[in-house]
Amino acid sequence: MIDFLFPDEPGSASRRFFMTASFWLLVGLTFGLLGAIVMIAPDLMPALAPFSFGRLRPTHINVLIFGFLLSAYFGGLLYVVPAVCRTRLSYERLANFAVWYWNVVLLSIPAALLHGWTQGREYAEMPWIVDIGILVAVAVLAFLVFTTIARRKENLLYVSVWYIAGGLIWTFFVFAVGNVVWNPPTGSWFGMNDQILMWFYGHNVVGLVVTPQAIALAYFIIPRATRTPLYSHALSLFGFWALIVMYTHTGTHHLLQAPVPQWLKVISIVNSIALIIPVFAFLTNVWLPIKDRFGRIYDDVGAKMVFTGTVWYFITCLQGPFHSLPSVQRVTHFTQWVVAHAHIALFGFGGFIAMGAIYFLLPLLGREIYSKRLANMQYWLMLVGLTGLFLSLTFAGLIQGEGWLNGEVVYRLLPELQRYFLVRGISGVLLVIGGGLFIFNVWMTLLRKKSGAGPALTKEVVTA
Amino acid sequence: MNQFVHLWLIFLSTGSAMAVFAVVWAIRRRQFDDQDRARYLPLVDLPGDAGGDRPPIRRGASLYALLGILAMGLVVLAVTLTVVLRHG
Ligand code: HEM
Ligand code: HEM
Repeated sequence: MIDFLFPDEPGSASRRFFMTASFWLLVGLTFGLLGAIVMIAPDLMPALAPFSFGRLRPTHINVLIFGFLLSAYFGGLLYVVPAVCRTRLSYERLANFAVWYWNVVLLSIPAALLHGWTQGREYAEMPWIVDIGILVAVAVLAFLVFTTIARRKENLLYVSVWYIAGGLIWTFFVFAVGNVVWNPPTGSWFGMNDQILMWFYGHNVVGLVVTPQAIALAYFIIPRATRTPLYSHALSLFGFWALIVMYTHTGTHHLLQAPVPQWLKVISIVNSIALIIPVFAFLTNVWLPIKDRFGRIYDDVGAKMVFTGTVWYFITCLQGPFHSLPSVQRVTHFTQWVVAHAHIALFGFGGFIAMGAIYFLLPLLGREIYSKRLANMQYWLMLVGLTGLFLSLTFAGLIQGEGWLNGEVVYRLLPELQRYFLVRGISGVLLVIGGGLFIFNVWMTLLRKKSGAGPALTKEVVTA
Repeated sequence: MNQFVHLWLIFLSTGSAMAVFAVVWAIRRRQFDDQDRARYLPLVDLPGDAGGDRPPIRRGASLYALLGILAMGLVVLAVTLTVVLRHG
């Protein structure tokens, strides 16, 4: 029984985190689709409180960020850290315990939010007790990573380990501070200061929680899939430090229209533009060396998804500095344009890398992918779906922005948005189907237990 | 409102202190010494084929799709810029 619940077999916790991620992806996508349907035809939804937009939206976002993205990253880092440190994961049973615990925490997110129990703070809607639950999980993961690093047989830390370890420390502190955990009843501070703190948190969720873990996986998978070393490891470390220094100050670019001190706005805009530096340090490092080995990216559907994630990252990070400029935000802020950015960022970049990492690492974790054809179908469905989501929201956003600046009234503008929302809904259907294929493929892969190409890096680790 | 400057300074100093600690640790543990070997860490167990078989860039649907997405991203930015400049 203990061995079934908390096995000691290397890789078991990673695999279970991957099952977790695929499950919550489908749940989160479904809530996204429901939210999109509300915007197309509000009357279609049953008149029940849990189906109101104000509850669907935070459920959608938090389930996807915590349930899908973080679960996939946790599974990935539990494999990558021991692999490049050439050792075993320090406490596999504890990691397996973390999987169960994490799922209980995740279950409480939709339970609380659909029930209307919320702190009304973007990306931090969950009540205090759930916040503490998340913090404990992150602390356990950080403990596993640091104890594994301490037992490493390879003295040099590969860049992925820097990103993973740094990212977990950041996740812990940023989450605690951003949720104002010392004030349980409201989870907030006071006045405008609280908004600044809130967006310090909100931006770091994407920049220092999601981004480092996704980059860490890409830094492991792209060189490995193409059998090509990085362009420069020193450059990758430079990118890591630049990200840490610059990302932390950008939060206020979400508040350029708000009464925030001018100096803080200036700092946030300057740092937003300077973010180009770590972004390109990463992209040159993984793109340059593989230019004549690109064929190998196609051969592995996991690597293809990860690489596609870096392409979306490129677009996201061209948009980012651009819409940090106040004159651009005059048009784009408060419109769906930003929602389009959010989706190519969190889904195109963070999500494609998460799904690709699962497909790429499962064989290394000793399981042959159930169906590569299904995986490829999923890839195309999701690529088309996300493109549709991106284009429809971007243009809806531009229409909203234009209309606003021209003084259009809402009643005339709203009908014009309808068709774009319809395209978003159809794209959402494609994505939900893709999510269905994904959970089927991942669960079949793991439940049928057919051993795959074999634990490559772990072979030595397993016998060590 | 400018009281936020205190919080910002506290945040800046703790963050910097942690970063300095990590850098000093890394220097003392010789983390920056052998950067060339570090590039190969994810590959060490794979059969070496540096410079070996180089699959040509196949111009399949995947490549066109990715190039298309890149182009789309740029076009969308250009369109947005036009709208912004019209209202500039
Ligand atoms: C160079 C890097 C980036 C810069 C400068 C940047 C800049 C921005 C700015 C200025 C906004 C707010 C726009 C507005 O409200 O008018 C924003 C929103 C957002 N960004 Fe980015 N971004 C960058 C990269 C990323 C990445 C890598 C991710 C995800 C992994 C991301 C996720 C988001 C999300 C989710 C939002 C929506 C926030 C909300 O309003 O709910 N961004 N970004
Ligand atoms: C893994 C995939 C996805 C992730 C990580 C994700 C994440 C997010 C995030 C961070 C936001 C907040 C954006 C902002 O306020 O700027 C958001 C909003 C939203 N998403 Fe998603 N999303 C995903 C997929 C989907 C899908 C497939 C749909 C369905 C069509 C969808 C529909 C929506 C809707 C309707 C909103 C609310 C937009 C608004 O408030 O105007 N999302 N999502």
